[in-house]
Amino acid sequence: MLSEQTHCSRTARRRIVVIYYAATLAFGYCAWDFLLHGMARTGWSGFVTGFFPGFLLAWLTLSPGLLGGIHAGGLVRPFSPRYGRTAYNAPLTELFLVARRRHDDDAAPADERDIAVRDRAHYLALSVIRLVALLLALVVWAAILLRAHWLPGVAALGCYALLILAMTLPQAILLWTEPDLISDPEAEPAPATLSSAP
Amino acid sequence: MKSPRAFLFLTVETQSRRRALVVAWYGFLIALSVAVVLWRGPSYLDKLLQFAVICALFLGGITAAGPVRLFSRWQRKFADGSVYGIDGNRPHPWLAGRRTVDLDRLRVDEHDLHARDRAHYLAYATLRWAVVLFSLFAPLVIYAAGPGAFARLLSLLCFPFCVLFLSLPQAIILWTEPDLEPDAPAASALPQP
Repeated sequence: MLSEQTHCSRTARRRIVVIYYAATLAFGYCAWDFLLHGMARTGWSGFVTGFFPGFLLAWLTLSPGLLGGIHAGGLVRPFSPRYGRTAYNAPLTELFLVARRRHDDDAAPADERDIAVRDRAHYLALSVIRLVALLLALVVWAAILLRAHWLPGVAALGCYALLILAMTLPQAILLWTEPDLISDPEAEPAPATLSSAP
Repeated sequence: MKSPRAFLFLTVETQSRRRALVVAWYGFLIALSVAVVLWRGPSYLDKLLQFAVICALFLGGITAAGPVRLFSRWQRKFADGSVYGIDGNRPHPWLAGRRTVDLDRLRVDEHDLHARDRAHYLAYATLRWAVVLFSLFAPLVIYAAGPGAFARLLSLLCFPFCVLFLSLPQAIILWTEPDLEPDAPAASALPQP
């Protein structure tokens, strides 16, 4: 289910997942802090603490080329052939030259195993997101009952957490769980033996 | 993924009845949400919206009660009376070996697992874009409206959204699962020439 360009080992893929979520968490916290307390900040301080992390957060979440899955060109193959075509032919991506590389080898899952792995990752992801959504609903319900003043800030943070999880969790599960490819022994050159050496 | 059970008091043995249940369920949810929004949410309608979240659990999948079988293997092991889902052969100390649900309703095969995963994939592909819309519009509303109006709006949106997460895979399974063909009569039961 991984893209043809993904040659890294499982350990490296797991590092990528951890770094991705750590960066998203850091930028998200900066943007949240800016929205809650830093609206009055202007100039460079406002840019550094608010707009820039917010922009990076949006880019990390919505960028087509990072984890893949919902677009061609990422670490994970497109989940559906429809997503793959969108990356090539969408007028906006052509206009902004985002997808200059042709991802001809990023075909959607074709065999039974790929489809089973993709569906299984979505099952696990939805099981997690279901709990998050239920927890968010309980927090909102409690905050409304208590007339809590922190509701808008926490709700905004919860919405973004839900957004990031919804966009990336199946891809992260695939990157985390897919085993390393075992190289074909027949394709490797035969090791030189003493008898064949000159 | 169908089990011989009912949603609340309605039996859903045939595909037409299962589809009718799905249509009625989402029709009820949409009508309730529209009514709450149009009538500015009288308190009893809000309560009804929260009650819909509890009703979603009776579709099954994430609970043992309902027409869809339990999704989770851990939950299935827990429900079969074993010790905290660890070992199915050991009786639960509180239940003294009694099963909490009928074992036939817990058995799943490859087809059931495939249908479960496929339904979750389709549901996820739908809910992903619903989450994107919800997350992009909610922060805009926070600062456009006051905190009170935002809390009101969030209470209206949050519960239907939660119901979608709790019920969409089950609804897909109920909608797509075909009717089982009746078993062919055994050879001994056929009339002999």
